[in-house]
Formats: sequence, structure tokens, C-alpha cells
Amino acid sequence: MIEFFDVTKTFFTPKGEINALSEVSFSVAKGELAVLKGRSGSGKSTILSLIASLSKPTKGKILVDNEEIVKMSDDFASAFRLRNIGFIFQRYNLFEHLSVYENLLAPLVPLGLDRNEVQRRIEKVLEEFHIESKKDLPAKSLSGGEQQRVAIARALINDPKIILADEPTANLDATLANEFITILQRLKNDKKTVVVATHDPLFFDLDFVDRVYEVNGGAVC
Amino acid sequence: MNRYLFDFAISSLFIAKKKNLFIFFMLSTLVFLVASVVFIDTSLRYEVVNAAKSMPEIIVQKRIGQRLRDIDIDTVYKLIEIKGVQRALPRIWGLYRFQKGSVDFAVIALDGIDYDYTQELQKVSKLYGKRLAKGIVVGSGVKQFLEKNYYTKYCNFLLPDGKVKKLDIVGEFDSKSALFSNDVILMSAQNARELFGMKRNYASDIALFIPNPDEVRSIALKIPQIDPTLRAVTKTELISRYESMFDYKSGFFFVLFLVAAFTFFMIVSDRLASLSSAEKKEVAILKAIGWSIQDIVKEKFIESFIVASGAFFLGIVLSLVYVFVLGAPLMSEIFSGSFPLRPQLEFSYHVELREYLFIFLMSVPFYLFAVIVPAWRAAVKDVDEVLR
Repeated sequence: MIEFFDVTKTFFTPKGEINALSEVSFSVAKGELAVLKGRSGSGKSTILSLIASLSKPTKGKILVDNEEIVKMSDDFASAFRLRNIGFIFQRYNLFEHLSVYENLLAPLVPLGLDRNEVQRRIEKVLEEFHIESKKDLPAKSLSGGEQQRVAIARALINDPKIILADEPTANLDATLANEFITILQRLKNDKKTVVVATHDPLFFDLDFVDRVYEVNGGAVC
Repeated sequence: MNRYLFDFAISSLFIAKKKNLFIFFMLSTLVFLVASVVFIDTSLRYEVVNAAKSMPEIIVQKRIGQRLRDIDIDTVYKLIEIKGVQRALPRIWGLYRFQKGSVDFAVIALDGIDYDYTQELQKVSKLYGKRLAKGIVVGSGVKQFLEKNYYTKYCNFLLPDGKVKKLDIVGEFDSKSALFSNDVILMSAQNARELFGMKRNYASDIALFIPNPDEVRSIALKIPQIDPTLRAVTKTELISRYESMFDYKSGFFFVLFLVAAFTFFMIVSDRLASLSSAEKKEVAILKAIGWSIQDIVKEKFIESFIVASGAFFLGIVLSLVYVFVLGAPLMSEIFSGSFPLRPQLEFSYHVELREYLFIFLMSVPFYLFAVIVPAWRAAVKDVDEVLR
């Protein structure tokens, strides 16, 4: 369950204050798939960052699985993120010079798992996203679609309860975008809580989407 | 230790491959330079201390108006009466200048020497004792100089009265202690007196042998009381004179290296104080996928420790080869520059753990600090801001 109560986020820049969100309140229930739709710069990505505790709100309260993440110390927030949240970034944010294997290893490192468990998890997602043959290639050598699959695999490798996807189809062609929709459906079937921030109309009429929130000028309706 | 953290740190080194290689070579060079100076300095100091073991505890000189004068050999009888003095031996020595090469050689009279201040002199005394009446035994540096000037079998010395004295070269002594023997010419006392225009009953100085080192200081104080023109130079003072010479040399080097080190630190600080946007992004991604600040600092520590310790070991190995295998070309000439001849120094390995520790502390921690602090600063930043 994700709950926002009167959340305001203001960015302080040399040019002045920018109100990214103004007293936003909304919720996404456990196992729901919610779409945040809106133009670029409307505040969608800011909402995802706040859910993942990558950023702190200026005002207001955010509950994720009944935990007030704003009040968590940095280390607790990291541990919470590690176990509960998988983030799929718009530009993938892979370590370009590292191999696919090393990119997938990254979220497992802080867990201190044994060798067998690490191998099991990596092999599982490699197979699930059909990237076994790319395992040893550097991420930068992959195509856009392959890079996105690696980014999704990395987000899911710790089996998080919440998946956040920021403009997941922005850099994909129609075929690859449909492939992502299939993955999304599978996540929904697995009872994951999913929040997708997008301006792609492809997501608005999907029958398995539970909620569509419109984000406009820092407000959610 | 999390094995995967270590693996990930090694992989991450390749993210900023060029920068890490640049720092690796800069740091190796710095370690190489500092280590070479430390190794040369340590080796020379050891040689001084080692040679000093067989030196007399006190050398008595005669000085009038701060000028050295020849000392009357009868002074020996007065000195031997001082309580604690076991033996008092007059020595004849001096510097002889070869005008042709503008070099000075140390001339030492060998007969009558029943002590040695290097073991080599004792060996030479046994080998050439009788033949020295008509000849000289030379150090290897002197031999090379004489050969260059076509003196292969004998050498002509210019006496104070303008006459020339021809002495055969009867032998050469080779020593590992080249620092002391390279520029030495040994001859009989009679020939040495002739060369320096010294009267028969006089010597250059008198060496005192004192079995109890605790008595050296009080004996040294008693000597001017016998004759106010006598001056006692203790072994400790002699060693400190040599050491201060090396301090000066190595100090000179250290000033140079401090400048080099400072430049290095400035470059490194500049490159690291503000991480590149790629490095900031790397830290932000790690945080976004669940790494804590502590995990990031640990990873950066391992990463920088690999670079710094690798550079440290490379620098140390290179300087070991440079000093102890190659004989420190260029640097050794600067260290041995004040000797009459520049001896071919053979450095012997006497480096202790503390020297390695000193070099390590001069190089590695700074780099670790310069990497970890900016990484920590990037890790505590708002991830969202960096990723945008």
C-alpha cells in the first residue's frame, strides 16, 4: 500500500523555487497497478522518487507498507529500498561499462548472499528476460530493448513487492513496448504493486490497470 | 568480507579506466622516487654506522687559531695517562690534490697501523706491508683516475719542495665499502711525511681507544686540560657529521619530492574533490538500487585501496631494482657528489619495516582519503537530483 498525504515537493534552484508537487494526496493499494499519466515535467517522476525515498518531500506524509519512509534514516531507507522496491528508470541507468552479469549482481551485493543463491537469482532473471546469451557483454553494447530488459531484470532480481517504472516505453519501438506490457501483466498477476509514470497512451486503456491518475502542474487528480 | 563487494569493486575500476590508470602511474612514480631516496639513505647510513664500529672512540687534533696543525707524537705519552684510555696511536693522513683532474685523494700511512677503521685496510696491510716502502696501494676509484692519466705502473707525486717522488703502484684494494675506500691511497709513513712535508716526530692526529663507551665524554673533556691546543673529536661527532651530510642530501631530495608530492596531491585532489558526473551518477544508481552509504564507502575504499596498494607495490619493486640491482644511476652520483672521487657505490639492503611503513603512509592513505570523502559526499546527496 502506497499513501500520499498532502505531499509538497519544492526544488530550490539558483533561479528560484520550483513547486514540483503541491499538496498531493492519493493511494495505491497492495497488488494494484496504477498509472500516473501526464506531460513531461508534470511531476510524475518526482512522485516515483518520493515513493522510493530517493528524494524527501518538502511537506506532507508518505506511507509505504505502513512505514513512514520520510522519517527513516538514510541507511534504513536504503535497506527498505533494497528489499521492497524495484525501480525501472527511463534511461535504464545501467552501469554501461559493466557486463550484464555485473549489472544484475549490483543489487545483490549488499545482501551478502551465498554464492549459490547469487547464481540462482541471476540465472533466473537472465532466463526470464531471455538475456542469457548477453550475460558477459557490456551493457553499452546492447540494443535499447535489451538494455531495458536488463534494467527490468535488475529491478526484479530481489523480488520486490513494489515496482516503479518511469516512462518505460519512451525509448522503445511498438514491438518492444508491447513486450513490456506483457511483462507488466505478469507482474500484476504476481500480485506486485506497480506504479507506472508515463505519457504513452498505450497504458491508459489496458484492462489490467486498476487506477489511472492524471498528474498536471504538480497536482494529482 | 563480502566477496561480491570485492568483485564489484574490481569491476568498477574499469568504469573510470583512464583516470584510474593515470592515478596508478602517478602514484607509482611518487612511491618509486620516495622509496629510492629512502633506500639509498638507509643503505649509506648503515655503511657509516658499520664503518664507525672499528673507528677510534676519540681523535685528538691540534688546532691553533682554528687551523689544524701537525701534532707532536710525544703527546701520546700524556694522553695514555688519562684514566680509561687503553691505547693512543698517532696517524698520518692528508689530502693530496692531482692538479690534472682537480681531484683530492685521501692519503693514509699504513705502517704502524695495528688498528683498522675498515677491515680492508688491515687486509691490505698484511698483503702489501713490505712492498709499501717503495709504493702505493690505491682504491678502485683512484686506480681508474690514474689509468685515465696513463699512470698504470707508477705515479709521480709533487712534494712541497717542488721535487717529484715516484712511487710504484703495488696493488689495488677493492671494497664493498666504496664510500670510504674508493678515493684512498695507502703508502708508508715515511713517504706520507715526505708528501705532506711533515717532520719526523709529528703526526696528523692521534687516535684514542677507550674500552668503556661511558667514559668517552669525560675523557674528551680532559684532553684540552692537558694542552689547550688539543681538540677531541668523538666517534659520535664523526658519525653525526656524516649523517648530517646525508641529511642534507636526502633533505634536498625530500624538498624536491615534497614539491612533486604536493603537485600530485593537488592533481589528485582536483580530480577527486568534485566527482565527475559519471561517477556521481554511478553512486546515485547504487543508492537507487538499495546500497547504503556504508556499502558505497566500503566499495570505494576497496577500489581505491586496490589502485593505491598496487601503485605502492609497483613503486617499491621498481625502486628496489633501481637501487639494489642497478645501483641507482643518477641519484647515487648526487649522493656521493661531495667525495673527492665519485665512487661506484654498491648499496646493500638494510631496509627495515618502518621505512616501508613510512613510504606507505606517505602515499596510500592520502589517496584513500581523496577518494572516499567525495564518494561519501556524493552518497549523502539527494539521489533524484543526481539522476535527473
